[in-house]
Parts: sequence; structure tokens; C-alpha cells
Amino acid sequence: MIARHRWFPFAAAAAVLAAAVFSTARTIGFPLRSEAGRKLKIVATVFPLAEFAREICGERGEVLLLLPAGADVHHWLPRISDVRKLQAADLLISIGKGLEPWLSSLVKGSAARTIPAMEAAEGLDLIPAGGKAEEAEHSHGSVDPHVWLDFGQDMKIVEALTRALSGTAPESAALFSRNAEGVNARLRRLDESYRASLDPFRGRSFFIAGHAAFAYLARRYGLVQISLTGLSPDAETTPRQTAAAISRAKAEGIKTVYFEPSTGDKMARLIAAEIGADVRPLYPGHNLESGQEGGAMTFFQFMERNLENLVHGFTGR
Amino acid sequence: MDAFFEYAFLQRAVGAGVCIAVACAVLGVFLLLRKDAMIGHGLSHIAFAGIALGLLIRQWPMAVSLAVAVVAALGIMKLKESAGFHGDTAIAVCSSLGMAVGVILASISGRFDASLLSYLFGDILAIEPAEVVLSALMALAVLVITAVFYHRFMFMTFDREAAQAAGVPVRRLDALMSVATAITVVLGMKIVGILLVAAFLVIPAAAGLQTAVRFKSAVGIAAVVASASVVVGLAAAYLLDWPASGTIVVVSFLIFGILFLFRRRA
Repeated sequence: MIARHRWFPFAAAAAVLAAAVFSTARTIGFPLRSEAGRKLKIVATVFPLAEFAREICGERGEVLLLLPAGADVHHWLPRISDVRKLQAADLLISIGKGLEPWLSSLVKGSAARTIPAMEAAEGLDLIPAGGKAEEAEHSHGSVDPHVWLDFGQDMKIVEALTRALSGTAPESAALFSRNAEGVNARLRRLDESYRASLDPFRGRSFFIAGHAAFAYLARRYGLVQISLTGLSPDAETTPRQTAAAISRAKAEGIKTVYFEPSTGDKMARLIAAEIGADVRPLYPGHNLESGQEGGAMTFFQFMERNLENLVHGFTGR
Repeated sequence: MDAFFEYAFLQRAVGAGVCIAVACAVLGVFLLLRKDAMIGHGLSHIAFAGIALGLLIRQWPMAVSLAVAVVAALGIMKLKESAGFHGDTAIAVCSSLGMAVGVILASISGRFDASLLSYLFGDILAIEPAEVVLSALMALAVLVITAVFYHRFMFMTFDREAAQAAGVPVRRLDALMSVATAITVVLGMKIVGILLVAAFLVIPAAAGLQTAVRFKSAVGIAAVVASASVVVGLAAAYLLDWPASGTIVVVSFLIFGILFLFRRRA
């Protein structure tokens, strides 16, 4: 018995060493550079990035979305299967700027090699995070990361994605840029329909009974966002903030209170009852809701629904 | 302070807050004497498993959670009794298991998301009219149960063996107390949030027990301290522009501290 106990640590050490050698050999032996015919494996953190990448790649690549439907991008905890997704990835696409606080440790934890990565928020015209409601989670990036809600910025993201993908698989560059033109054409049409529908309401306010996720949308179409909390989705409101938001909503003649479907409509319903308004969802679009797996809604459909609901808030129709 | 007359959300916060505070405070006096101070925390972890199970089987998450918490509360009682542990050991065993099972179930159901947390945790600033009624009924139920079984509860709390020998149905009353606690914790957590429920179960009761000479006045003082914490806490949170739950807990601690000093001098 004692003898067995004595050699056990050595056996364990040997096993660990063998595993380490084997895993290194695997990454050296099978370089993950794309070769023609093999589908590219793209991993995207949030829904809009996955949608853009999927359309740009077409048949050439397979896009995996890290964030499961309904999960909160700020708090989600990766599972073992997500580490394996990353290990097999040819390209990792994230927003960056503090939106995905779990990503850096996930990449470090799974790195037997350097995963080619791009941060979509890099080089864009970002809105600085201001106001006193900022919390540590977002403030280290100190910009508002919800940049995909500005369709002009989305077009730039599509271009950057196309460049990154072409770098990974140069032989398909022509296909990527052809597909990218298609995506950007749709984004341009979306932008034009927003502009046409919202132009009459320039300077008007919309009220979101949640965190301030819609600053980019507000900036692009000249609207004013009133929110219950600041950029951090965790910030607890104080009684006075809530009271102030209610008075402001009353003063501005708000007819519709918006809620983020992922956090529920309770707060929105209660505020709507105080000011005599109705309640509609407004999708930040970074994620599908629970039960919408399997491509029930596209990013474009979410944004079209948002436009309908915004117009409803201004016109009552 | 006009705000409290102007805004319905603040009125509902006071109403539901006071009801839940009183229910927790009265139960808390018995729980503290039974060395079950951590039962609020423990049951909240177990309720998490219940919500996750409800989301997985897609049936009434709140009802499933209540059922799971009641079963767990009875299990904790049983474990204390037959394994001879202290209350805190049994609570720690069950709450760790609850948390672990909850994490697994939530991951399997793919619903590890904000909706899970919104089922679990309420916010005292977001209380619906129906929840005020529910809180009032809960407080009433706790007060009626305590009043009806008052002497038997007191007897078995102070001398369990003697009570048993005298023919008090100790185990059935234990079960009643456990079920009442489980329901109060789970519903209270859903309405005002776990921070407040866990505090209301312990701090007012501690204030009552160390101030009062007689048991009955300990229960009364606990209820008054709990109610005052809600009213003063909400007013202070409004004036200072602080988060409501945290301020209410700090106020209840301050009242506890004042009573503590007062007692020492007396």
C-alpha cells in the first residue's frame, strides 16, 4: 500500500507531462491556418457580430456565437464547451471596450496558441461613458460599448470584419467583399428607413426603464434617451432617481415606456402606470432572447421591430 | 417628503416593505433562539435551485421554487434532528447543494440569464399592487400562526424536552415553523429582494431579544424595529439619494446599535 502511494505522485506528474506534450504536439502538428476546402471557424461574442460574420462568410465559414440566447453579456460565465470552441477558432470577433469582461480570461485559459482576434469597437467613433451612474465594469474602457446600434458604425464593422476574414483566408477575399457589399446595402436601407421614419421626431425623448443602451441610436437620429440607470446594467436605482425619471417622463409627455426583453417588463409597467403610458420592448440586439434559438429573428428584424416601436411611442400608432 | 404622497411606487415600497419586515421579524425571534439565524440565506440558495428547476420543466417557476424551499426547510429540520448537527451545519449543507444543483439545472435548461434572476430577486422600488396585498396576507398569516401557537412555540423553544414530555407536538410545530419560514423567505425575496429578507430575519429580532425582558415584548420590539427601519430607511434613501435596500438594512443596524448601547447603560 505504502509503495503504491509513493509512486502515485510520479505517475500523476508523468501523466500531466504527457498530456501537455501531446496537446502542444497537436497544435504544432495541425496548424489551424485555413487550407482550401475546410470551413473557417469563426467565433463571435455577440449576436450582431455573428450575424454580420455569417453573411460575409457565406458557405465558406461556420460562425459560432458564444453568448447563449437570453444570457446577459456582462455576467455570462463560459462553459468547457466554449473553451473548446475557442481552441478550434480561426478568428475570434468581439466588441471589446469592456462589453465582454469574461473574454480575456477565457482566451488566456484556452490559449495553447494565440487565437487571431479582432475587436470591432477599435477605430470607431465611440461615445464616451459619462455621468455618475458609471460602474467599474464599463468604466475601465470608459466608452459606451453598444456601438452596433449605430448602423453607420455597423458598416465600418462589416468592412473591418471583411479585412480580418480576408487576412485569415486570402483565397476567399473576393467572395467576402462581395457578400460584405450585400450586408452593407441592407444596413444602408435600414438606416434610410430609420431616418425617414424618425426625422419628424428629432429632439424628442424616448424613455427606457432599464440601462442606457441606446445612446448610439439616439445620436444617429437626433433623439434623446432617458434611462432609469446609467450604462451599467447592474446599477441599482435610488428612490430619488426613480422619482426624477418619472417626473421627467411626465414633463416630456412620454406615451410609451420601453423595456429590454431580457430583463423583463416589470419596472416599465410600474412606471407606465404612474405616468399613464403603455409599454413596448426595445431590443439592444446584442443577443437573442431565451426560446429564440434557431434563427427565429435576425438582427435586421430586431432593428425593424425597434423602429416600429419607436414610431409607436411618438405617434401612438 | 412630498414624494411619498406623489409617487405610488414609494407608497407600495412602504406598504409591502413593512408587511414583509414584520413577518420576518416575528419569525426571526424564534429562529434566533433556535440558532437558525442563517436560514434566510440558506433558503434563498435553495430557492435558486427551485427556480432553475421550474424553468427547466417550463412550469410555474415560482410555485416550483416554493415547493422546493418547503421540502428543503423540512429536510434541514430532519437533518438537525437525526444527524445531531447544529442548525448552521444543516443549513450550510442544504444551501451548498441547492446552489450547485441550481447552477447545473440553469445551465442544462440554457436559461442562465437575467430572467432567472428576475424570478428570484425583487426590488423594493418595483413592487406591483398585487404584491402589496400578498405581503399583507403573508404578514397576517405569520401573526395568526404565532398568536395561536404562541405558548407552545415558546415552551418548545426554551425547553424542547420538557415541552415534548408535556405533550406539545414538537415535531409538527417545528414543521409548521419551517414551512412558514420557507414561504416567507421565498415570497419576500421575490417581492423586496434577498438583502432585505435576510436582514429582516435577524437584525430586528436581535434588537428585540437583547432589549426586552419578556419574550412577548421581544417579539413586539422586533416588529417595531423592522417597521421603523423600512419607513426611516426609505426616507433616508430618498433624502440622501442612496439605494433603498442597502439604506434600510443600515438603518435597522443603527437602531439595533442604539438599543444595544441603551441596554448597556441601563
